[in-house]
Amino acid sequence: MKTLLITGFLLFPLLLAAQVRGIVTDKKGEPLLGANVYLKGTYVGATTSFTGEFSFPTTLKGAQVLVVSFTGYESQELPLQLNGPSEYLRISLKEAFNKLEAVTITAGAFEASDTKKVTVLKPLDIVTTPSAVGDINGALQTLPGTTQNGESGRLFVRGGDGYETQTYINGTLVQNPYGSALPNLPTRGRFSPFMFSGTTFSTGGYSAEFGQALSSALVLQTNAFPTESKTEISLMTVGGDIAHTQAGERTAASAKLGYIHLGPYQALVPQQVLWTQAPQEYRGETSFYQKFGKTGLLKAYAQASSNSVEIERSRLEQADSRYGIALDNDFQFVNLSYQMAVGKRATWESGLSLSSNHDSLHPDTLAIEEKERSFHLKNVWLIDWTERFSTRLGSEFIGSQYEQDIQAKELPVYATELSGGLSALFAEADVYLTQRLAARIGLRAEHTNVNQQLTIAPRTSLAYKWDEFSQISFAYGSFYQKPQNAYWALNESLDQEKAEHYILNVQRIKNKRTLRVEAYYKNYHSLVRFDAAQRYQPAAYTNTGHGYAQGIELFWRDQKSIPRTDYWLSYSYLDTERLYRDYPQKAMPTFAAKHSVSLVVKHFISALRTQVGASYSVGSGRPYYNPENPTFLGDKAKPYMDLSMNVAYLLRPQVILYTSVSNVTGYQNVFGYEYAAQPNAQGIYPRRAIGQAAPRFFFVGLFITLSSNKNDNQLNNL
Amino acid sequence: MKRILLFIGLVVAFLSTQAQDNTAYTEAMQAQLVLLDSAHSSDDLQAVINTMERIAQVETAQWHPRYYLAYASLHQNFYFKESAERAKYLDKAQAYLDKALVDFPQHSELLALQGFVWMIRVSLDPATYGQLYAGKTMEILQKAKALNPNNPRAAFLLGQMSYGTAQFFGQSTEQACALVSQAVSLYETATPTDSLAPKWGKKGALSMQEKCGL
Repeated sequence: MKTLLITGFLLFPLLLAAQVRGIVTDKKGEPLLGANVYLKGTYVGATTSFTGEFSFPTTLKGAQVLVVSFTGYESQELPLQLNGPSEYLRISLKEAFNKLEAVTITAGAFEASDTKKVTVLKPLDIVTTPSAVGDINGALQTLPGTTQNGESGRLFVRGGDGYETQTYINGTLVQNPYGSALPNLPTRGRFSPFMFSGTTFSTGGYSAEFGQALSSALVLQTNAFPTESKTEISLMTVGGDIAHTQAGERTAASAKLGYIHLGPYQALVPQQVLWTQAPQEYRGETSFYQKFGKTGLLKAYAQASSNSVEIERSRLEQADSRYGIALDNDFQFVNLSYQMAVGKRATWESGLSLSSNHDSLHPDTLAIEEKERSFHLKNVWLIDWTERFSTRLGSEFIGSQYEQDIQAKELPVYATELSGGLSALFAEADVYLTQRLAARIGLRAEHTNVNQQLTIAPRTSLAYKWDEFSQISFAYGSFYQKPQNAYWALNESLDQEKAEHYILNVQRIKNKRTLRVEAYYKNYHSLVRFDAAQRYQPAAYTNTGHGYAQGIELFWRDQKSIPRTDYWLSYSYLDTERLYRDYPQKAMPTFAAKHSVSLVVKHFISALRTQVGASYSVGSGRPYYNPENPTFLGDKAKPYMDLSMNVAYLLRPQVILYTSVSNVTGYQNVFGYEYAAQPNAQGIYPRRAIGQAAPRFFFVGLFITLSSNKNDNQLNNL
Repeated sequence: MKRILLFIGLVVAFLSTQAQDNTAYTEAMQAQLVLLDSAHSSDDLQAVINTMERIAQVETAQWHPRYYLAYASLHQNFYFKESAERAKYLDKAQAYLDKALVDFPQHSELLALQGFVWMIRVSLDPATYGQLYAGKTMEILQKAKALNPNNPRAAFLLGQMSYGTAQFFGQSTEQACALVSQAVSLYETATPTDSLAPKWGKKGALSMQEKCGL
């Protein structure tokens, strides 16, 4: 009896300790290893074993709360009565919704971001692409959906004309994103790629937030608040610039001055264009950052630049006689954006952009003055109602003023002008039906006060992720864009042009390899058309143009198979025809090529601290107008080809030497032909090939960063 | 008989009250630190993490649990090969650190650990993260060192980072090695502020010193 009693007392603490036992599984009944099971507000608990089971003793009594948590699953809390013998607990956890792992809407868009996980490109990829020579558009031309137009330099997307691609900085429209260029000579983007930390290049099906673009949207986000003060100096074969950034805790500012003069370079390297005044540019840029409260951030950017160039060309009708073409351009641009969190779930974004562009073009004895001023004000509210449901609501107003004066020798000035406003409202909802299935439904309404037209554009996308790495998406949208200034100024009753996109996209990203296949169909309505013979008659302009574009595109990127090597391959097939402008009949337009292929390879040699890169692009010949051919646009130029190479050498932590050569092989590209207006005495139309300004372009630059942090350099800038 | 009952009662009472005071916290943490040192798989580390999570949800005023939760998560990444998998553990470490840094933004040890997490992130994908984090890592390690010049881990990580950079550029590693030597002597002389303070890094510093030929 006594022994029994003593044994009983010795076991007493254990008897007092209740045992909490059970199993943790997922919804399919698979055991979860490593889940944390414990009594809330205490240290008491256990980790599940490989069978998903747990068991722990506790001396706690009464009502307790059992917490079960496991990474990637929704935690569960269940009340527990710790009196008497406890039952065996069976707990099944539900997979948590994780936006980072969830499906993303990818149809049509190429995104380069450092913050998002699954992106096809990183910002650095854009600036290290050899054929780009520091131009964002140049890099984007190695992606599927684009057609190389060497005589233009603009982005031509999926059978769309250059004006159908619009650029947005921090949400607001940039009215003149490209520098002004002489006819048939390529332009470059006005903004340095170093300004941006996020780039989304959408070749169709974009959000209802972006209006006034028929074919494509290039959405750029400027850099985040600078973290350190530094001075950057660039010395290049074509000029130089100096920039200084001063960063404080809540305020930062920077200024940059640049000067470009191609004269010395053109004197050294043989040119195919007779430059009577080499391209020259003065440019000043400044930006300012101010933090407000906990989340508010104001970003301001301003640029003023002035360009001039002059060339001489021989007359088509009379080869030994030449005429000059001069161009002067003045451009001013301001972009303001403000973003702040409102409460826990909402974000307010506001943006304002102002731009002014003045071109003076003097071809021969003609004088063409073109002035355009515009502003864009936009407000967006983003609300995350739940983790799975968010909305985007916004309003915007774009005001613009356009003026064109043409003066031919001794004739009165022919002047046109246009001023108008466009107001828009948009609403869009992102819904994650499950972690694997998402939908985006949006609507955009626009009203133009020039012709009092109201347009309603629905946009929608669906995406489904069928395994951890692969997804399929579909997008539909309708898109409106106001007629080009020169036409609308003549006939204000013209309606907005319209396009509809249908896109199907399959994407697989696994193990640093990306495969993307996209098919699309796009149709155009209400394109502006006119009779060339009556081009000065307003009534000659109508909205009777139309067209279509369809194609299939492939993108393959591999950063894994070859050590320290990254390459991507793009292929685009394009089938398009349209009836627009002064086309007498439906035809494949001059800016479209049936097949386009680009290969970009980058290799890093650690021992030499050097990155070498090459990009190779080929494209089928594009149509050109030949007055001798009865079939309109029935001729095609020879295929396009370019091989560009670059080398970036990290001389010292803060000094980079960069060189690049475009068109290494010296292949004579012909983009099309220019014909005389009248046949000569032999009845033949004299013509001239539209080619490159020079067979090759060489570039050498030295980039120096001066800062307190010795490891910083301008590698970002290359 | 009554005495025995009384004795047991006192023991039970003592044990249950002890759970609330600081010694219980220290003891519980110390036990986990022993397990942390002897862990040799990601699952071992997960068990430590789970226990420390339980401690952390009670001891919200302490920095140690969150520090070691980040440290253990960071170490989990070394048991995996696939960089996407490894990145998940770095994200997890980062999440614990973010929470800790909200309450202790000027803590030398936490800042040094942040520098370490970024260093590993850069090593996983230098092309993507090199430019983004290299400068930031140097900066935060320098800050960690400035906040507590006697923190051997700040000096060691800073030395390691500078050594790598100097080697890459074919520059003198003298400055980097001086930092490593300084770290080694700090490991020997610096006395931990409390019994739960981090102690890791000495072995690494010693082998680094060997590399330096010192």
